[in-house]
Amino acid sequence: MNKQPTEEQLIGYLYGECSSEEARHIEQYIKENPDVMKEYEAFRGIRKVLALAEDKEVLEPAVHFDRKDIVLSHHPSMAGGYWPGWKWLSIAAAIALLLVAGNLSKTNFEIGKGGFSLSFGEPTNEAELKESLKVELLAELGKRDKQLIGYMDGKYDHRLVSVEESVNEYGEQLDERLQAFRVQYRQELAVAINRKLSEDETLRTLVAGMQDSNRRAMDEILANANIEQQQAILNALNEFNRYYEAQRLEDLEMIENGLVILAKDAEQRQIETTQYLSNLIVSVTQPN
Amino acid sequence: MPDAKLKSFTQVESAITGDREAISGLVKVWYKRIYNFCFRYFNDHDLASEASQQTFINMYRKVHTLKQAEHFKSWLYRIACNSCNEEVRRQKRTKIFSVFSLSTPIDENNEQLNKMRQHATFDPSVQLDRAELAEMLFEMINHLPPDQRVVVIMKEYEGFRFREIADTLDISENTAKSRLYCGLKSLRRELERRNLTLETLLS
Repeated sequence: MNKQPTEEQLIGYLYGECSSEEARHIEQYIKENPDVMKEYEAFRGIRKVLALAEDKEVLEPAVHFDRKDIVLSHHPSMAGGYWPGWKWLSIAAAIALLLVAGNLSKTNFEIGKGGFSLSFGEPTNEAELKESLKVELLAELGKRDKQLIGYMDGKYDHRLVSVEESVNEYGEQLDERLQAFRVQYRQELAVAINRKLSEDETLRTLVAGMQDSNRRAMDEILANANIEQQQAILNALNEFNRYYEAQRLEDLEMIENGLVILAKDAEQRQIETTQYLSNLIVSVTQPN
Repeated sequence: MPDAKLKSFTQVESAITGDREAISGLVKVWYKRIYNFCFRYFNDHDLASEASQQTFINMYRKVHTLKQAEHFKSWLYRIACNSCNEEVRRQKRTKIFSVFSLSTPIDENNEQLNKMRQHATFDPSVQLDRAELAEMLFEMINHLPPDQRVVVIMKEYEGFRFREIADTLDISENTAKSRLYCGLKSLRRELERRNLTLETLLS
């Protein structure tokens, strides 16, 4: 192999994951190039060193299943030396740090019968402090009482009257508006009723008109129908009369013709009878 | 198929169907491997425990989605990688709010820590015992960038082939090799910086 093997090829060769042909070429190249040989040997050395870091021994956790999930509970004696007390130690350290910070900032923390107190700065005599606080508190309470009484006497009454007036005024306004609304509503209702009645009357007139015209139309239709019917009957009777007359004449002619034929027949038979009698007489009188 | 492998395959098949006993068995079989993988990733027992636990919880929740039992190993390590990454993110979030952090710092950009590590040198006259040497190696691995660190651990300690690493991390084989190359190179530099020679270490 004339070409220098790539990083990937060298690694493949180092771990024995390349084709035999490729391995042969790389081996040859390494032999011929001391720098590459040095790198390759260094990698082999690293691999040997890494092999010294063996697996940590660890106990597998106990496996449980709850309804949905798997639960792995670690054995307390697991290798690696995790100490559960670290958590508590960290909390204790935090409290200690707070105490140190409190000491530096002259924080006074006191737990008494009724609770605790927190203060900053130099602590003072407790009795004096209580007395001064009592005096301050009483003075403040007296001041507040006076303010409250003044407020009740003056501003509160005035405000109450003002509110009452406002309420009355508003009530009157409401009454007026209600009255106006009633009037307006009645007017609108009357207009609506009138409009409704007017609409009903119009409808009634329209229906009556329609009924009248319908009646007239029906009378006309019936009258026309009667005339036409009478005319038809007359025509039919006339036709029948004409037919009857013609038929009678034909019958008379036929009877007449029959009689003529009968008369002719009787006359012929008389002639024939006469002829026959004559012949008979001749034959009888003149035998051959 | 050898008996042990067949047993493992059958166990995974049963786990896929939701057999809790089989899942429990898989935890027992794989816990040490996954814990050590996570430990080498974090060099911290608490974080490794947390990440391994999360790995098996996720395994239990998702095992029914595994299509082929023979891909179980790659699949499990992918979950482990994701759990480690998630744990790193969680630690970073927690760190913002935590004043008293007792865990090992894992911020890759912690300049002070990096400086301390860079200046840490080794006195050849002092003989390291096995545990100290392992601790130092774990620290050095932990100092690698995460993408190189994972490949180094998978290749050196978990016995993955490059094809398996590529499948697990969803990268190409060449990328896996390249990351390993960079990782080994960084470790070599780190050993040199600490005045550690192979002869010293291997003696």
